[in-house]
Amino acid sequence: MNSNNIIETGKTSMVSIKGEIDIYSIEKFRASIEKEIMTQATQIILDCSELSYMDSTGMGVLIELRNKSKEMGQRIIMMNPRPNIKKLLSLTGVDKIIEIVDNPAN
Amino acid sequence: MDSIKLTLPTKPEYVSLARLTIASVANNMGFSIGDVEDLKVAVSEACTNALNHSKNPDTTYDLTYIVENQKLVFTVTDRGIGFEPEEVAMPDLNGKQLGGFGIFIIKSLMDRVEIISERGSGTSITMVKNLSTTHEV
Repeated sequence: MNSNNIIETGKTSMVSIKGEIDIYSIEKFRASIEKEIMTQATQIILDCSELSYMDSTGMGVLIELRNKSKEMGQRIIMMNPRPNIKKLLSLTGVDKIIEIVDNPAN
Repeated sequence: MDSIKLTLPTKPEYVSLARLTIASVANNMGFSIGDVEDLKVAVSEACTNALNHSKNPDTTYDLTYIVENQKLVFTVTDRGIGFEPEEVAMPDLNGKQLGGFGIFIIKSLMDRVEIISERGSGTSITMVKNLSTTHEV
């Protein structure tokens, strides 16, 4: 997983999540989002356009990070997740607690 | 009927190898793109379970594929401490209980799942995915 493209625009942070999130890459993913939670950003947008795979390890950390960011008054938004990832977000109910948006540019 | 057996190190970096191999086997069999994705998730969840929950004292675990005419049968077997499948609690979205997603996802995506776990001798998760007769457009 590669997430080093972080763009801050005002109070919104955009993190580009690339590759695969599984038991191997999970700590890097967690660290990159936790870093954003520590900032003043009110919105953290995860650009998932180039995220090819995520499983329950990623879902668990997403829930954990969403709860942490909520306490800080922030929102986590997933942008453009691929159909295979959307399916798991729906299956696990994570799509009910994390906002998912499709960017029309994609 | 063809049978393939892999022995993987109990290290997180090799779980992707399980996904690569199941994708290759399933593609050859003619599974749809969506089903291949589901198979990748299921095998990955079972391998993650073997690494996370088995407290495996062994340095390896096994993955077998049995290619049948209209279905793929695959099993992840570890030699860890085992667990009670009935006692796996459903995950809680408020974050109090984050475990349990893996088994839930496997059962949702596969046509048949059998979990055999014995305290002290390990866990074996067998999953079956039928080759769908309908084709994706």
